[in-house]
Amino acid sequence: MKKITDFFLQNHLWRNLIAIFLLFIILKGTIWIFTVSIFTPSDETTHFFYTHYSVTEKMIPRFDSNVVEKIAKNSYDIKKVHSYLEIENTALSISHLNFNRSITEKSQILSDEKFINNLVIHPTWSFNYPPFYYLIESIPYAAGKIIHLDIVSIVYLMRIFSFLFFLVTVIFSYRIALLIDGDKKFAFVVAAIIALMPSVSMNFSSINNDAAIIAFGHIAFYYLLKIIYSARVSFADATKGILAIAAALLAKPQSIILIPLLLGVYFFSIQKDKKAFKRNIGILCGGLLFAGIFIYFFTFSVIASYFNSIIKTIPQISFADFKIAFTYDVLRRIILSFDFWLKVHTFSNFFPHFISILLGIFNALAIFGIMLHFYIQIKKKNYHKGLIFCLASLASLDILYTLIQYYESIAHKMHDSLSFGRYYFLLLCPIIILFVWGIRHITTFFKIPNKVIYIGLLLFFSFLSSYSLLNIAIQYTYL
Amino acid sequence: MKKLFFLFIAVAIIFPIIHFVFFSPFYDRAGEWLFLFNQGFKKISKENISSIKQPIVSPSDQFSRIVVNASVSKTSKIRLGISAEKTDNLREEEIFIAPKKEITWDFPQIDNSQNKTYLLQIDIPEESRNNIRFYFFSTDQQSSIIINDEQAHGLSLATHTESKFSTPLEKIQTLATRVKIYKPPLIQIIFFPLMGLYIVLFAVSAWHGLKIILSEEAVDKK
Repeated sequence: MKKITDFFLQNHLWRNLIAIFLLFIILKGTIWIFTVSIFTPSDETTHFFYTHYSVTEKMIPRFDSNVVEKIAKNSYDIKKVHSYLEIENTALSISHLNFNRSITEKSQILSDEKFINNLVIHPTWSFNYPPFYYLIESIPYAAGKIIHLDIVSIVYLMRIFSFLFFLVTVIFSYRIALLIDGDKKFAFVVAAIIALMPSVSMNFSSINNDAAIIAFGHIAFYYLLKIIYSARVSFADATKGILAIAAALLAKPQSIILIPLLLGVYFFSIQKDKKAFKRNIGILCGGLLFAGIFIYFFTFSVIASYFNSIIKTIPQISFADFKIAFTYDVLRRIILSFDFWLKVHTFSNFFPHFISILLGIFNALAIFGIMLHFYIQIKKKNYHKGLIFCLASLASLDILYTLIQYYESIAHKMHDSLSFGRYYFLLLCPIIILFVWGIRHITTFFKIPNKVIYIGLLLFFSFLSSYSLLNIAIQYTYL
Repeated sequence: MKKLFFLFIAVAIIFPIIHFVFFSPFYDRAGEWLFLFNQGFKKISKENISSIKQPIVSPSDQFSRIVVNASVSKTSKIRLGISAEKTDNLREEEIFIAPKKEITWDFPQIDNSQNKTYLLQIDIPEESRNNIRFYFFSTDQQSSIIINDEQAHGLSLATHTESKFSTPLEKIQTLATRVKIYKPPLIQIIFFPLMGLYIVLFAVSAWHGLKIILSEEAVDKK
């Protein structure tokens, strides 16, 4: 009887915790959305104009000579947007809004042509991206228009839609961590770290197709992982996984790394269940065909032109070029190890030094912990399939980014093109799982109980979350 | 459990609030350099520089800090000064700078400084010249920077200005005013109540989270 009472009490506590925590992150996300000034986050202008174009022209935008003319046609909204950008000097600026000027100069306006061709704002550069995210964002845009909201309010409404992807990411992160470890405490800590990271809060507070690719990437990751952990491949899981991959492919091209993961999972499942091949070959072929069609129409041109350029660049590579690219790649990784956690738009350098020191220690502990874990696994020949899948996914993404980094560095002398932590958010949950797992593993050698590590990590990331909201987002947005 | 809960509140709520209200009094960072597009064309001085004169504009009252981007290889001495048109030096100081990526100079606030142009003068003694490299960027603005007593065209020193609130209360009042200037009416109304609710929900989440993590019932199988 006591056991049954404890079980219900425990479940009741968990339900309370999950409900309150979800409420807390919804509230926190809302404050971030309202705080960060519109069009200050990276590329928000171009993502906004993609949606604006899709709704007003009722077609997916592509670069052509008429695009500027078509955007300029709806000139009232354009004027409002670019007067906001110009007067407040917000786009790409890390200075505060220009409060003194803006009170007196609200009527000053650029020409449409000058605005649309502005090299800094460049509102049309995202126009070759796949359309799925923008179709979703067209719902709040169109709804805002129907109820006669002004363009500033519509931008905030669109941001709220972007934030829904954050909730999906956190929920699926919890499920992924629970599947891998089986411990609710571990799963909660992983989901909480993701919800509290300043860089994640910032990323989901703006209009950006990264939000969609991260959410769909996590859904796909969960169902692929479920196939790995199931004794038999379920038709429903395989279909959901493939649909999520298709949605991610329709959101941003780098989700292409999910296809080798899908193939890997498929061949892994054949190893344990020979009949799975026959039973699921239809799903796999259908899924690949489905993915192939999307890639061909929406991402193939981007990937093919990139691949062509890489092939052309290879004969021109000298050892000196390679050495420079290598040096910048090492530097990129050092920057990434902090940027991944802290980058709040352009404000990452405003964190106190002790935060970077603590993060450096955590990163080092996590890497040593994971290396030690795999060393022991190899010796015992007892592999943890969930962790291996996390590492394999990270390796796939990193190989893709490393190739792009070397290509950009050698061909275009752009050495810092991939030094943004948010580019790795497609695998946010697997990275955090490896991070917490590594720290937990190494600290067991010092006989530190798991709960001490969990509380320590939650305390650190809670501090980081509140500190970044008050002392960085609010401080540098308003003051 | 209670002690841990209060530790969470102290570290994640009280400390950030105290830091925000009392320990970061500077506001209105301004300068052409802060526009990120300008930072793409950063140029580092190669020659030894003995003096720089650069006009700067403070967008606000109580101008009290200048940050100059520079690479300082070891602790060095420099002299900084600000003068206004037709006046002697308003502020002048000789400071020691530590090896860092920037030189921060705090000085007693200059009142009524809003939208006024000042001349920043940096003098580098001979013994410090090898240790400091300044950052410049290309500018379309009519440049009137003078380096080593010679006019340098199309260049500007990477620098920004900041002003200081007189009291924490002034800071809170400015924040409240600015929320009203820039946000749609709904956000103006709910912004501060949401901040209050944030603290309450954080406390409740922390309490429940600690209760569960400290409980013996949940799986601790590793």
